[in-house]
Amino acid sequence: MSLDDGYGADSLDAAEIQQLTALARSITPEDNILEPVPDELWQSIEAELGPIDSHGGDVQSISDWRRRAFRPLAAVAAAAVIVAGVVGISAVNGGDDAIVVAQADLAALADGFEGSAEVAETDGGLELSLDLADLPPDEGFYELWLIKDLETGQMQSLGPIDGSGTIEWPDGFDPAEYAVVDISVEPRDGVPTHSGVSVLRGTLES
Amino acid sequence: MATSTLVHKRSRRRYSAPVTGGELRAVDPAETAFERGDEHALKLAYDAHGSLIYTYCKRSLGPELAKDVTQEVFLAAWRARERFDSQRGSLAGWLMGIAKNKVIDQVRMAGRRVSTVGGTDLVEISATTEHVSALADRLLVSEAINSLPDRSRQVVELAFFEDLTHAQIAERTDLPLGTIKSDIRRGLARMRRHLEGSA
Repeated sequence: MSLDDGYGADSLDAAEIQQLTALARSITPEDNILEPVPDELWQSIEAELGPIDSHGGDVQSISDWRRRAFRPLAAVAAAAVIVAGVVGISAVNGGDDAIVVAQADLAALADGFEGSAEVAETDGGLELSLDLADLPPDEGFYELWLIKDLETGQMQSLGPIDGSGTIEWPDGFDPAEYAVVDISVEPRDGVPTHSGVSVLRGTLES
Repeated sequence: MATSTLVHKRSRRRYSAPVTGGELRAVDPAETAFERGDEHALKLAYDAHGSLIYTYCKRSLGPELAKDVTQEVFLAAWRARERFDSQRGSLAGWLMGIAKNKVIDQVRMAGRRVSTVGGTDLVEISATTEHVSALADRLLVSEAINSLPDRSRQVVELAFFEDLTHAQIAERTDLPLGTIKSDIRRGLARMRRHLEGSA
């Protein structure tokens, strides 16, 4: 059996191939049969979770988003603590008149990247702040995006970036819809579309 | 012989690009949704992988306990969704990893109750833990193979289960050797991705 001759040395080594082959060969006919899940099992899961909101809090309509932004500081902080899975809410700087209305931990999609993003309401309007570990040098450049739908590719570029900073949130884009903050590495080829290679990505949650 | 020379010449040509991370990641739409924490992601994950998890639980623990544990797996998965990383393995694998831990907990609890009766039962506990671990791996590999596109699956089945050489598979399927090798590589990579998710 010649399974292990030249199988793309970049991804699988001979030992792994042997292991996987042995495992595959240990499969019994019974292992190929999947039982359908019992009826109503999903309903009991749903019942445990309550209404699921992708923003992690209790269910609110998208139009409530703007009203939430005007809550006094204490209420925003308290609500943020209850939100499941959101870590590292940064303290609002008492010096600025800024209220943090959404936050995202950015997941590293490649080694060596780390960061978070925040949307804040200020006197001058909404701002997006990025707090990033130093971006590794690259032949290309880094670009910031707000993504509405990864599937359909609806997104808005906020231009090239070289590190942490704050920019104005673009007019006419609802943070509840364009909630995925994405940083890509782009080749210098003059092509404006997303390269498809993201290094950091996270979903804004309020 | 002329035929074998021809075969060797064909095998040196590369017919397709190596499998890349991008190609692997296109496979399960529930994964992207789950990584984003979309409100529909858990239902997508359940629709895609509920049977796999339930089957594993049922074969390990019986039908009644299987329902409870399957429910716990999906609840735990949703609560831990920020820890899912598709770069480290597939969603199916990740869910199976959660299921394996819960099943092993159940097996150990059952073992503990039994072991108060007599020392000989201890051997049975460890054997059963290994058994449910091995079952998880086999189900993941089976899932990987069964989720391949038809042609790749056929090639992989001929390679693993009928133990044919590449040349024999080429003859049987009338496919170029390069296609056969890349189909098998794709199958192996998908298996590995599921197993890594569960580690």
